Amino acid sequence: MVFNSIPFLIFIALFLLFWPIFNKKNKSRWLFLTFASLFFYGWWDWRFLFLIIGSGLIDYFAGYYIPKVTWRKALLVVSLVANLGALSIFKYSMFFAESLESFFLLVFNSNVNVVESIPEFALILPVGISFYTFQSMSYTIDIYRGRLKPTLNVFHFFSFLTMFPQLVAGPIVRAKDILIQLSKKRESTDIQKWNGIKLFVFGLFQKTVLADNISEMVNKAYSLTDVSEYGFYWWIVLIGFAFQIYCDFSGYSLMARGIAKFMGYHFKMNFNHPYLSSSFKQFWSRWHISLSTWFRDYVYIPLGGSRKGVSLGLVLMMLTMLLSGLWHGAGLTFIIWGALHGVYLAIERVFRLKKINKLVYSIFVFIGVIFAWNFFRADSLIQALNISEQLFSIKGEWVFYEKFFNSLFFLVLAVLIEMIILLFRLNPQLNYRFKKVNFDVVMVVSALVSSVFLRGVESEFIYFQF
Amino acid sequence: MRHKQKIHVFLLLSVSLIVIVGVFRFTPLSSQLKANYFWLNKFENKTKFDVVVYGDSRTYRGFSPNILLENTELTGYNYGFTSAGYSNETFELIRLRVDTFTDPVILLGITPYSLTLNASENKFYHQEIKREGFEKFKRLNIDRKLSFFDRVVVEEYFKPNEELVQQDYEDDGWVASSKALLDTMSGLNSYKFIFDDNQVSDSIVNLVVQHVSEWVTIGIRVYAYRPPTMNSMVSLEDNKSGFNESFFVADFEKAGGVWINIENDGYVSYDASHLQKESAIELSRSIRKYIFE
Repeated sequence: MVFNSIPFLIFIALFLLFWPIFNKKNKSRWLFLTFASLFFYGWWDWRFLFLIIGSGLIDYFAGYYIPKVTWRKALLVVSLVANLGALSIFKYSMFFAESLESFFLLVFNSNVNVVESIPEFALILPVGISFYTFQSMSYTIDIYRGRLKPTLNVFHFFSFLTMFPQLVAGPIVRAKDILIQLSKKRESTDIQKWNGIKLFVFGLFQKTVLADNISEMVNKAYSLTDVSEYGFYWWIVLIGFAFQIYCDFSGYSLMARGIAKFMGYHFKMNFNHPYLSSSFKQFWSRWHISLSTWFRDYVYIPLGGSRKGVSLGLVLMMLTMLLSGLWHGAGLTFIIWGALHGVYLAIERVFRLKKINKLVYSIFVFIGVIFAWNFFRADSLIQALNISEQLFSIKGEWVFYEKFFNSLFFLVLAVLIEMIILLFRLNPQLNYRFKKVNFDVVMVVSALVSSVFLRGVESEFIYFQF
Repeated sequence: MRHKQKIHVFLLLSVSLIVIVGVFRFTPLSSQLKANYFWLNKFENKTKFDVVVYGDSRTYRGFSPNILLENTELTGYNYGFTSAGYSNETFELIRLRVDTFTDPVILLGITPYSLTLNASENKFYHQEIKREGFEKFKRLNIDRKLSFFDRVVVEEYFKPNEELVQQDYEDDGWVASSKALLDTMSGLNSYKFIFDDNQVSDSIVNLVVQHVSEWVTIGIRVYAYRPPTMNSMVSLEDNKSGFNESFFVADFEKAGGVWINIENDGYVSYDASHLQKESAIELSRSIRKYIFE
């Protein structure tokens, strides 16, 4: 069930109708939220429920017993193995099998058949598995570290783990932030409701109007198995993809935050206009913030971070970025995408590039980011390499303008919106003046009407596949 | 304004504006909601027909079974779809739609691309048939009745109508397409690289021939033609695809099929690949004589 669909409209209407009744008492709130969320999730495929309930129960019991027993490390290992094991089976088994086959072919010149021995059930990728697995792991890790007290009620835990606004595509919320919010009745005020509506409608606009319209150009460009155009064309396509994926994912996060806000809960910001970043480090503090901070807190810092010297710090940073790439997708292209960002960050840190003129360096950062997006989007490594080669071709034609008029129109609109946001940031007075004349109402109405009529051809949220 | 008031104003203004825009907007040249119904219905509808037409976009845009069968009692349907190719499942699709109790006819629109391995993956077909649950219900039962909510394509407001393709989704599976300002290049551009590493496949050709032979054996009349297009497109395809029309025709006829030779001259394509509506009508009429006279 996606947010921009009729079933969700019916679901949320019914949910909000009954929410005030069940919200009164803790147990009824947790129970109602859990069952509603499982219904929301099961709408995709009811079989997915077994996995989320199974892995959730393991983490609940691991968390419950960790503070009580001496073999707490073993419980943590059980939780990690269960979560990472499920992730490996459902998300990476095909990748591992294919890699193994290629390895045997290259090194021993022998054909081994691993792919065919993968059981059929492992070929189905449960929606949002990477998101809830990380969320669940952080629960047991935090309890093990003594930073969180386990919840005693299993439905309290599941209402956090399965909370439908963020279940399938984040933001990756932390148990310590959400369990406490769920532990008492929270009623949303009028301002929270209004802000919730604003966030939801702006997210809907980003997804349906900007991302879905731009995707038409990007999908067509990448659906050709061969590179048929030159450098200029591919730069435009990549800028298109940069804004498509940003509007797609940021749109989902905004909608998730909006629904939560309307219910009286607060999810942290997941995107903060990343393309306005003036360094690669800043980019990663503005792009998919909940994932970046997860990797920082549970991988990079525990391994030593930058405390153990420059060289080891760089190695750990590269490792973190590679894992981040692998988190996004089981494929070499995603690993290269992560590696590229690792290299960018390393160069930036070693050569202190941030000291270059801010505007010039911001443009450089943007170019670096969109160059890396090619690997993220490409269907194969060969395609990614072909397109990367074309990016440096100085030939260029403008004929694609005719073919992609619609997508280019919305790409320009997306860029303009980011520019306007930059203008408002640089000029706080402007923000104040617009607030005074209730300009936000006009903006939200325009965004909603645009979402109804200017929507692109429906496509699934990109991050659902992760 | 207080926040509660803002919510009320927002709801009131939004509903009013949606009604106003929905009522006063232009009718789209190509309805997305009608397309949603048209494509899914094409594969979900289990009706059997006397004449079944199959092929890729040149066939579904370039041939109308209703016009082929006008003034007859016979029924027909165009099962063509985007980048359609030949595989066992599409042969099954065609076969199951033919009413074998009459004097059934299968008409194939053969293009070089449709005989490649890439086309045989039939991605568009799979994309449609994998729709399920509410999405399937919505496309089949709600979408075409909700034209009020059809999406506005900004291109239609910024470009002169002559530069845009109008598409009408007909109930015989034909997409009547037309454009006032003909474009003799766009189709050629997209075909320039389409055959690199994706030549006409012998195995696909053999599969076609084998199925034609089976169909003929059970009493189905099988016809095929190469959809007319611009001569420059034909040359490009013949040079790059590895398609040898005379060899194919010989094999096809040996299997019992009847090849219909269509000259390109006289037919107008709006994008160097697909036929204008009027030409599609003319072609549908001209093929009648080969099948029924």
